[in-house]
Amino acid sequence: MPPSLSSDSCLVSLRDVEKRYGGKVALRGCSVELRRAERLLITGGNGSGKSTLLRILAGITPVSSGQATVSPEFDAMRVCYVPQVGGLYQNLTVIENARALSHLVGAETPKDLERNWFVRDLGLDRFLQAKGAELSGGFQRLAAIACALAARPQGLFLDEPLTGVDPERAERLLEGLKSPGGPEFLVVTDHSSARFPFADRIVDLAQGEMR
Amino acid sequence: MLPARILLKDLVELTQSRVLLMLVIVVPLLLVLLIGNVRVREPVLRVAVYTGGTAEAKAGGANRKLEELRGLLDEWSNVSVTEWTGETPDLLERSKRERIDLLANWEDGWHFYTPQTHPYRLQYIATAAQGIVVSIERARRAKESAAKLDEIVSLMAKSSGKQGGEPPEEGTPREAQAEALKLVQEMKDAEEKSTATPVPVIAAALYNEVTRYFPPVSQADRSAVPGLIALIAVFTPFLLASAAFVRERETGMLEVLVLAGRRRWPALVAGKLLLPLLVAAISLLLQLVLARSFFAFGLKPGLAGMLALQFLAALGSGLLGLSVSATVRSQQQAYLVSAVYLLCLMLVTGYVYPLEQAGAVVRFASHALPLTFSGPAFEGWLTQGAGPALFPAEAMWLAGQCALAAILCMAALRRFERTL
Repeated sequence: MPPSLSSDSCLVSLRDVEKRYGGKVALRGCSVELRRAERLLITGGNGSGKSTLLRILAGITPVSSGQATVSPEFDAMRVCYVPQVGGLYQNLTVIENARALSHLVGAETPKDLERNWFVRDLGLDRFLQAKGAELSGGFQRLAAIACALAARPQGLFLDEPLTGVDPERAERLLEGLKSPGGPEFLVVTDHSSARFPFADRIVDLAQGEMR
Repeated sequence: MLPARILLKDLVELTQSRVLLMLVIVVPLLLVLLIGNVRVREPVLRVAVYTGGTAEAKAGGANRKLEELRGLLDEWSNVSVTEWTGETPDLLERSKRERIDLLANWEDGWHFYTPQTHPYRLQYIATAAQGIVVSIERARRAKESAAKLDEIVSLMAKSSGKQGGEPPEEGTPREAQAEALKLVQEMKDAEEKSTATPVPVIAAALYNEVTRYFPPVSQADRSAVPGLIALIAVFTPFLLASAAFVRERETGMLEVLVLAGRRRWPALVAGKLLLPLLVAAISLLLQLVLARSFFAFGLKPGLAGMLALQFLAALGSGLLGLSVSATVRSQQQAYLVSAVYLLCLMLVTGYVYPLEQAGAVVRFASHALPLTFSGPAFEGWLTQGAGPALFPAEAMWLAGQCALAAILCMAALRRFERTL
């Protein structure tokens, strides 16, 4: 019998989860719940298992042991994920990337992209026709996040979204993410909790275990 | 829906990559144009005349018959006649070994035989030399019959008393008689079932039919075009599929794709296979247009069936490519594997070197590659109009390869998933 979710608002539940890559343990004894309308922050140092936990919560990575339960509601949601590195098709323009991603997740093709805050405020409007490979590292990150947001996701998983982004644009991105009308839930990883004061809950990891 | 979404995304990506587009569509067309005029000088119809080399044979008109046949056939550039002399215990075995199409045997009253067993080859050989039917089965039956006759004779001897006037052993005659009758009945049954009855060849008919089916200068002259098209149709899906997952991984988009598909791997595999198959189909159709326009290879009846056969080959190849994509760590490795696969297709499937002359290991290994079965079928269809109905065994092999490749692909993906 599959394990039940603790409450109606629970979308994903992890119980005593472990993830191994070959002989290396990336995550151990981790129990977390992802709830509706929640902003969850996963923090920790390098190699602490943040990205692994994020991918397990998103349903990308299977667990090696433990229980991972996903609600049917979560399965039906339009969810996007932005990886720590890349996240853009390098030979497509930003607009084409946005269309491709929206199409992949079954969203409507985004129109008037330049009018959206994640394009205008992040300074991406002048790069909409530029190919992914032509953008700087920081703009590639921002463009990947913008493409995910253009698909109007109900849930968003961001893996270290501020890496390589200048403080001014990082500030604007965080403002935009916490404003209403965005994704129903948000899961973010970062090495510091200070940059995400609006997080409802923080999961702190060290060497693959919850602190 | 997801496979269609992945196809559209991949299609957009492909159209934006001019180099890849050139490699998978334009370069194959140029190759067909470039080497389309290369002709294989090997004769289409190989005829061996066995005279036995004895004085009796020569006196009996073997030389005259040989000269007559040479006169009939030698003027055709793609028909060769060779004379076999001396003792050859097993003519059919020798014919197989030396890839002979027709064998005229003096010792058998100039009956013609063919060791070819493939239906499409057989059809044309049989039609070419009207009235000539397969003899392998007949020879086998003849051997069996001879053995049984010996047995019957010995049993009859037992039942009627041993040679030299010795009295029969008690209890034996009735059993031996019954056994002999049983063997006679078996022989009769076998004779009734046998459809392979050779008839003497009629020189005029042979002349006319060879002219019709093996004209010296026409598309029936073995050209590089059909084989090349079949090779490209199998290789293109592998090339594109072998980089499918690993390219997504390198751009960091694999997780996005997996999340979009909610880890429904069969749907992801189907989506990732659609583009390679679509590109292979477009490429194949364009090459058929070129083959028709520049090299007079007209489309033959049974196009849909032949395309279905080629689709099976492309599907198997694409699934193998996806297995590779789930196993290698970079696009560079994927393209290296593709290069090795291309070499295998060229060397181990009969594309360059005939399998009949290859070693047992190569012949065994050839069964793992789709081109071994799709190549001869496509060549037979495009050059001689051999319909897909003549290739049921090939279709079965290709379907089996697809099933195995699908199992291999899912196993590779299960392993791959653990590394996500």
